[in-house]
Amino acid sequence: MMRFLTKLNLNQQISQDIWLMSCNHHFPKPVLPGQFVMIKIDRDFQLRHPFSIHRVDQDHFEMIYAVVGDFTEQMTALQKGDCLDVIGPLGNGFTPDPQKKFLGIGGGMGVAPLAMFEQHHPCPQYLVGAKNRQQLILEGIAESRTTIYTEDGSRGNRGLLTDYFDNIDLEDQVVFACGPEGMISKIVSIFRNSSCQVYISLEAVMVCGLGACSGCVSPLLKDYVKICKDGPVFKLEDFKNGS
Amino acid sequence: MDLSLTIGDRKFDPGIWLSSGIIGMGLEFQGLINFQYVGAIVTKSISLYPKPGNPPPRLVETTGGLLNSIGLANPGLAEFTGNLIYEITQLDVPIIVNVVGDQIGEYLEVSQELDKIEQIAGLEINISCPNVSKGGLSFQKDLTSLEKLLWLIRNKVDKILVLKLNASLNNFIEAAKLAEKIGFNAVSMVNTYPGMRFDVEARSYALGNKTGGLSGPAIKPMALWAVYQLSSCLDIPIVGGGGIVNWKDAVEFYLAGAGGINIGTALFSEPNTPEIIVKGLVGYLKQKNLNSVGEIKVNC
Repeated sequence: MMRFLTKLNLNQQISQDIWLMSCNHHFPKPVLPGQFVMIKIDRDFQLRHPFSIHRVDQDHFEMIYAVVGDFTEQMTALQKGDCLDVIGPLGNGFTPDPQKKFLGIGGGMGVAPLAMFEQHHPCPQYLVGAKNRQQLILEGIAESRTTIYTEDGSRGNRGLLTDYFDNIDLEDQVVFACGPEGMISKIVSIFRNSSCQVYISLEAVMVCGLGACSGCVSPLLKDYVKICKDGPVFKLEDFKNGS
Repeated sequence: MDLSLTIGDRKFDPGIWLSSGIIGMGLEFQGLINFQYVGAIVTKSISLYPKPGNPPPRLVETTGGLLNSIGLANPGLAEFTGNLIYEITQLDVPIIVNVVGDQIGEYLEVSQELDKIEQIAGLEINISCPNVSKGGLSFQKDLTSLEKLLWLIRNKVDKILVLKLNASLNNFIEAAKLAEKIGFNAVSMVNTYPGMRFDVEARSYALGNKTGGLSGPAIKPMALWAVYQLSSCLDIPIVGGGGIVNWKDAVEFYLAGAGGINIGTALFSEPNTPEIIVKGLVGYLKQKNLNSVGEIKVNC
């Protein structure tokens, strides 16, 4: 974990209210899927906000963000060459066994970390869901290996991605899921009795990202552990029954 | 330049503390804070038994501040004295332990156990958390039980004792005077102010505990007022804080009558605030031809 100032290389809108930001930085150690950064923009007092690392290469890292409040609204005004104050990479992250079949599941902004698996598995398969085609994120993942669901049916299958699991072979895969609380609850019950190894990345409001404040706990987990430090990636066994 | 703060027989140099609840156990900020510029870290609250804390959500951002309802989540005394305290000593910075309890007996047991540990510089007795139903702020509300609590702790503990107060109760001056009379060595002002927010879309409470405690720059003027009110009533030092993010804020607290300062929520934004403040204070003292922060007084 380290702190650094980075210059923006790119900040562009990729869909309705969804933006892609690329920053110049070389991480000295490998970044794992699921890890995140805490960023701030202002030089003056400003609470940091957490963002999943979407993709990383030798000299850059990317984040995908949705414009949902003042902070992310402010992010959209940043331009190439502007500075960001970053702490990271943070959290535990997760890498799948490349010998096993791997399924990445992303709902809404939960798609953001999936692209990291392109570098960590030879042939990842994906299930991706969104409210509609405007909010669908496919950035960085191979569409040929992706099944798409939109709630309004404007792209791919109609409905929630969790409605379709009856048709999917759930045996003996490694699964990674990230998305809103409702989706995660359903994923937990769908996979509870499967033979899959399931890893779930949780989203939360965070202010330290370091495990100091104990602010980011989840009602879905058995214990009030810190999502920023003990996660954000948890095993299925860490979740409550019926969560 | 003298930026130190002396409490009892203990000198903290600089007199800059990192607030309980924000700094965690200190270890979490290793590599981000230059601890050479820190006078003491005040650990997360320690209770007799582990506390899971309040239901989520526990954090909500507000204009110029942060509302939290952590609910004193902590690993408990045994884990702290068995492992954590020895890890924290690696930071080579004085350690003040924030002590909480549901009942007087619990405060007493925790305080006595911590008093035996050489690596601990002092105890901050927390009677002012607004986020718990038992203990916490209820002790500040009732001065009779408070007197008993403080007297019992003072009689059993040799280390320096600091009382952490909440300025949202209008008895904070009486509570501070009581602490001084009983032999407490300092007071820490202020804890967070009670506050709340709502989710207008869901028409629900923004925090799982419904209400929380407000910190950050939003509370600075109120915290300054509280320190100012106290300063003329006490001879023991006040460690003042509430919304300090830069050296000018720190100077304002010295002007209000604080002997030292507490940095809290600012660490979430700029972890290295202590170094920045120390350097700013040194520059300010030079510019004003002063030798110590104790000389920062209001010109009447």
